Amino acid sequence: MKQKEGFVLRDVCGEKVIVAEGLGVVDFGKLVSLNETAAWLWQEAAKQGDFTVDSLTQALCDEYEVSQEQARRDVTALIGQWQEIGIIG
Amino acid sequence: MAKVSDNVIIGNAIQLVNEGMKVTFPVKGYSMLPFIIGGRESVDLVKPEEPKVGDVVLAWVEGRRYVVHRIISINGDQVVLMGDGNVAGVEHCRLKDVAAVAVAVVDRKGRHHPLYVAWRVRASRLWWRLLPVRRWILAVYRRTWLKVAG
Repeated sequence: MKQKEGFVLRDVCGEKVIVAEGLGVVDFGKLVSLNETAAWLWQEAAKQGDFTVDSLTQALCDEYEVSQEQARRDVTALIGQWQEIGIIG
Repeated sequence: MAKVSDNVIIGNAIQLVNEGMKVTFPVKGYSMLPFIIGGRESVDLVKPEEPKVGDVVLAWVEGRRYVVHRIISINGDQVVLMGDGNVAGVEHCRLKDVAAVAVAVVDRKGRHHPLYVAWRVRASRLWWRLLPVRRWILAVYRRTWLKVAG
């Protein structure tokens, strides 16, 4: 899976937000707000380029103190949301 | 997301506009009928260069709130604005309070319609001349076309 082009993590009003931003156009009608962990995972996914549930789960376990199962559950749920919103493909 | 006041969100949008970005921003309310339908449509905002009469702008008015309204007169530094959907009532601000200019309206389907093409300019001028009867046209519009369109 990859992040779709044009979705950028920005700081809006003190919150981490994914903004649809293509060619210098930002859509404030379509903001996706993230908690800290989700924002971190988004950045990880960007670093990885092509990522999977496994690769993000591993990254989460490496960075945070969390069990493999919990991490996998959280990553699976988050990726599900991203797919639903249409920001990854 | 924690509840953030509209003014803060608009402030953020203005920051991005000042960076040279074009920001698509949802519009609330009916004060810009019939050209912009609040609650359903957005406007594309860019950095203002030389605000002109007829421009639809985001401005900080009366020193206390933001509106997206049309400029109806400019006298030196003094700007007067009025919502297309208002039948009376104007707002005042200074030129420096004009934070962004709307260059397009974005409909429900995400289509961008440039605001200053010839027919729209003609329509907004005609709409201005119809000010004395605006109240009745809007009353009919809200009960008919507005319910159907969008």
